Amino acid sequence: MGNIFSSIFGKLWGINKDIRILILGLDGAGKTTILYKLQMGEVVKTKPTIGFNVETLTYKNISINMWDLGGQTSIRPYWRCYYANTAAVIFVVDSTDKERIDVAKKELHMMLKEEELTESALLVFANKQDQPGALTAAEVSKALGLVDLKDRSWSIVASSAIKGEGLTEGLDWLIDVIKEEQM
Amino acid sequence: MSKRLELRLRKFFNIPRKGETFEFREGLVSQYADERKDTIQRVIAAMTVGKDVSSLFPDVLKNIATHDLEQKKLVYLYLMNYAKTNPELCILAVNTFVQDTEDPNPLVRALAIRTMGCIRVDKMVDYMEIPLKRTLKDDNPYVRKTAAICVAKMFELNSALCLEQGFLDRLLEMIDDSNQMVVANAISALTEISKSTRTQMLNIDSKILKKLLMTLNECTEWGRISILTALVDYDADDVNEVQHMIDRISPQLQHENPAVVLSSIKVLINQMDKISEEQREALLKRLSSPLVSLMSTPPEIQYVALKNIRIILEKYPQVLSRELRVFFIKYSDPLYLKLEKIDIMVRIANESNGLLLLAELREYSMEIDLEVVRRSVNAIGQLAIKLSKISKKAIDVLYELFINRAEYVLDQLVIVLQNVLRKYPKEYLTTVITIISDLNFEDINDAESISSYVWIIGEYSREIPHLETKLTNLVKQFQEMDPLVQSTLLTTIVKINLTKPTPVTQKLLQQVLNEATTEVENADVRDKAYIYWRILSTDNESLQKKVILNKLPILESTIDKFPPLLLNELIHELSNLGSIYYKPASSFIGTGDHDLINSSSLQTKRLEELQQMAKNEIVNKTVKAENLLDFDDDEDVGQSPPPTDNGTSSVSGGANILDELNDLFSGLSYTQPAAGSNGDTKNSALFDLMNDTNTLSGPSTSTDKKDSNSNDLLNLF
Repeated sequence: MGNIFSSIFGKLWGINKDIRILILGLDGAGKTTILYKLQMGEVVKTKPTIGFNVETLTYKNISINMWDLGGQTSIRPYWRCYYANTAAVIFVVDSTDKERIDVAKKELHMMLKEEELTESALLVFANKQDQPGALTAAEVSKALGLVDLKDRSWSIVASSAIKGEGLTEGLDWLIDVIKEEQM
Repeated sequence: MSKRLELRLRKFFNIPRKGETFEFREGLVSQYADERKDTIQRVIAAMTVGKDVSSLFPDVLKNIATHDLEQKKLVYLYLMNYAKTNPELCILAVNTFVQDTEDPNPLVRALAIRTMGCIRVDKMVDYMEIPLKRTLKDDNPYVRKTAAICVAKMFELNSALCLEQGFLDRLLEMIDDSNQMVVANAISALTEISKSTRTQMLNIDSKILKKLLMTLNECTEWGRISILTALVDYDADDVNEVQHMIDRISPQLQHENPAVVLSSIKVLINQMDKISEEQREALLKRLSSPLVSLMSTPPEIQYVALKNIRIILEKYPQVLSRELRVFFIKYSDPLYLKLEKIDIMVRIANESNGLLLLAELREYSMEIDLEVVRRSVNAIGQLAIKLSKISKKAIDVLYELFINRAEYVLDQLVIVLQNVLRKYPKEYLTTVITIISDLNFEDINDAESISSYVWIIGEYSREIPHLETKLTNLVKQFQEMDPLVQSTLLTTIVKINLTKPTPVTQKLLQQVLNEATTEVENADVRDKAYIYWRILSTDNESLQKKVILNKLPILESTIDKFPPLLLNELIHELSNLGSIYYKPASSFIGTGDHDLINSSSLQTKRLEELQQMAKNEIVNKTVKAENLLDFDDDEDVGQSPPPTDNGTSSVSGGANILDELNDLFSGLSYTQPAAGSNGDTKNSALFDLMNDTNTLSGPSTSTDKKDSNSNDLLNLF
């Protein structure tokens, strides 16, 4: 009986409710590293993700389900399987990979066209800022054509997953947007 | 902002889509963990009752990454079931699988590698390599033993990779593992691989043997079975080693799992040839009580046991000689068990317990169940033939059955009587003749029984009263009869005409021969009739009698036996499916699909080759023949191309020549009989006979010659 009550109240007040956030991006952008840096606070050695990782982290009293999807060309078509009930998308870009930034742009815009994601907020991490020759956040934003995005809250943050720079800032912004929308 | 509000409103008022699948999908992507788990449970429930929930694959898959063991198991179960329907999507699970094989919980590690092995999708194999390698060396024996089986699974999907990665060598190393479960699984994986590749992957030497025998006592029952199965092929070096094996394996005979018992018996029986006579006797005595104990299992298992006992009995008939009572039929036994038990009892029967069995069979022959009755009557006959001492009593029982006039017994009874006469041609003649003369063939229905009835009449025609009436009745229905009966009837009438001809039988003979040669469709009956007709037309009565009245050899036994080769194979495969079918496993377990395709393509290839060869031969020969036969067309010979492999011109040329050749031979076949008639009169007589019978219009001539005896009949031609 108690169970039923707690689950009813939980649903009413949004307690126990998981917020789904997807981490997407081309292969080798640093998605898995960002996920575990956020969750455990340390840099883990990663292998290319065949499939996905999912971790739950509690941030500012909100329980977040972070889905890190593999970015390899063969797996990208399956991203769409994960779009349902997604509150926000974190798109990670390798700022040093100038050659494939166009591919990243194409994937990003294709993803945003999906009906299931029309309401989701978008956070772009211009990752790998610790590396020499990395594009700045503004340059990445331009290359991705973020300015053209209408009807969507979005933001771009320069980050370095290895050093842990920019991640919390980005997440703070994202959480604020989500809170505003859901509450 | 306004647009977003609008969207949200639209969503709010949207009529939700209905349907179970939609509900499931919503539940699977729910934002509440307990709701997701609940939905997974419902999906699995739907799956187990046979609903197709494969469309939910990606959504279920999303829930694979969880720390909840229960949920993980459910998702894995779903994956195993539907991986084949969504092979591409399976790779989405790879990451979780690989992570799970590193999980601190050994249960999760084993579960992950087991499920990975069960997902039989090619793409999966590539990713299995590293986790498999890791789990094979896991600290936890439970994980290691699960991984061992996975090697066998992977080998089936990609044997080359398995060899390359040294998984098989690792399996061999695992035989030395400290944990007995790991050893057992490594052994069963190796046996499985050996079977599928038909090469011996596992070479048991005396060191491994010792290790396995040590492990045997500590294993689970299924582990014991796989170890015992592997030991069947072991070729022991000396008697001491065999003795050691026997000592170690004998305790397993007391195991409560019938499969363990049968496997142990299998190993022991296959080592029997290597020990001395006395030891073998002692060992066989020890085998009887475990076999008897199998008779207290549920009926299905008893059936399997009986089938195996039948094989063992054939190799070592003395095994159960004292245990007849165990196989007595219980009223509650299912039919299949009853029949099998009767069969076994007849095989066990010997001088000392024969009477007991006869009394028992007599009871069975009064049962309600027709099958049981038929089988017991047959068994009484088998018993009478097997044991001459009690044959008198057995015949009495049969006579008693006949007096009671149970109709359903008659069919089987007649067949049994025929067999009895073939074993004891004189001893019980009066009883048999009494029964037969009292019986009309309308009383029996089965073709085989009628055939037996007819055979007895023919063999003992002198003793049968009202012979002519019986025969006339039979011949009246000649054309409606089964070919088997037709054939016997034909023989019988011919026989009677040689031993005791009367005008009536001669008339019948003519009628039967006519009908058999002109009306009967069955080629065998027709040919037999022709042969008789020709023999009868030779005028050499002693020859006729020699051929037609030849006595059959005395029947030794009516209990069927396996051919020795088959028996050896079956003994080797005891307690497998093959021992129930009585067929070696290789005859019904097909080779893999690959082999099938290969062999069929190979066959067509061979066929083509053969066709080509045949063509070449024809061409070559005809060209040669052309050279020999063509006298008038010299120019053609000069122009005709030399024998080539497949020159079309020479083939078409050859065809013409073939025609010529055919003409030549057909001419020869016309002239041959003419030439023969000059030299050999017998030949021509036969030939004429053939022509005449072909031109005869059966019924009209036979009615014309009602009174002619057989000589007249022959003179007619």
